Amino acid sequence: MRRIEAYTLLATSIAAAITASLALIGESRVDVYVSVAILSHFISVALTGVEVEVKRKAFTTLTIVYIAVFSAIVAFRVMEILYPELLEKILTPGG
Amino acid sequence: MDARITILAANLLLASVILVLVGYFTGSYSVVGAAASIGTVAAALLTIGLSYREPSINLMVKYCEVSRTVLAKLAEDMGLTSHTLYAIPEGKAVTIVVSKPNITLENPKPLIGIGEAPYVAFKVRFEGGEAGEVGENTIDAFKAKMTDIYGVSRNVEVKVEGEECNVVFEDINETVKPLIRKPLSPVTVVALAELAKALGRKLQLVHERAEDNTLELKVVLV
Repeated sequence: MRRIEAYTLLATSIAAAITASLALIGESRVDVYVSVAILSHFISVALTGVEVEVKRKAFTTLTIVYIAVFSAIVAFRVMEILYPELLEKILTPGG
Repeated sequence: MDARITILAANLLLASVILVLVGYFTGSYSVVGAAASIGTVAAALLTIGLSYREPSINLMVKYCEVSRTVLAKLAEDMGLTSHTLYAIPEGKAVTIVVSKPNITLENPKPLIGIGEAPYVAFKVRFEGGEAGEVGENTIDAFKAKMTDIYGVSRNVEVKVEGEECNVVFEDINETVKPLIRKPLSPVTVVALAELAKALGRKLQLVHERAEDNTLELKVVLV
């Protein structure tokens, strides 16, 4: 099996299993689904080593975008707990 | 590019967009979340599918660079600092000769030799018919081979005017791009060998220009 096929199988399986579990427990926060899907991507990449079969530039761009999105989600959640007033002020229009 | 993975990713992306819309308009954020999850995996698959390349290609690129360095050094040591390439069809093979421009080559033998001038020669063997047997569709067959089989570029223009032939490779494949540099570019060598086989004539390379995505070759039929 080629690495790209192993990656496809693994990434879709992990994402499908976790997404189904989250949906079953009634999770409605979209960022949770996105962050878990990003995690499944990184786990699959680490396990299959698919990056050797992909052009470096495209793969680096994808990694940077996913890390940025994941960091933003985590930062948002941390701010929600530590500084809820500040977050509310930022998110309120005209606030 | 891996077409199967790309098509799979495109389908997943489409499904995720539809699910996002369904979830949003029905107010079911679990569906939106699941769709976003599918979309995230699909985006990764699309990127990987589009930028996929056979890992062996990297090995081949490296090997080509090493072989080219050896051949260039050999030619240089033989006093062929200003050299050109000749392609001589013989049956199912084409002999590529690196020697001084505008000389008469009489049955050059691989690997090195001295005729009218010192030369370095090597044979490129082909499967299939004899040289010059392709017939009326010779140029089309050459173009198809360069684009579809070797995957050198997206488009190849070939113009034959009398005893001169101009070949322009446009939109060169990203993987092949590092290999179009002079001297002894593998693309030029293979193109010359294929053209000599297709035309069934001895060729001499008189002009070679590599620029960004384009490679221009001008050959004369000797």
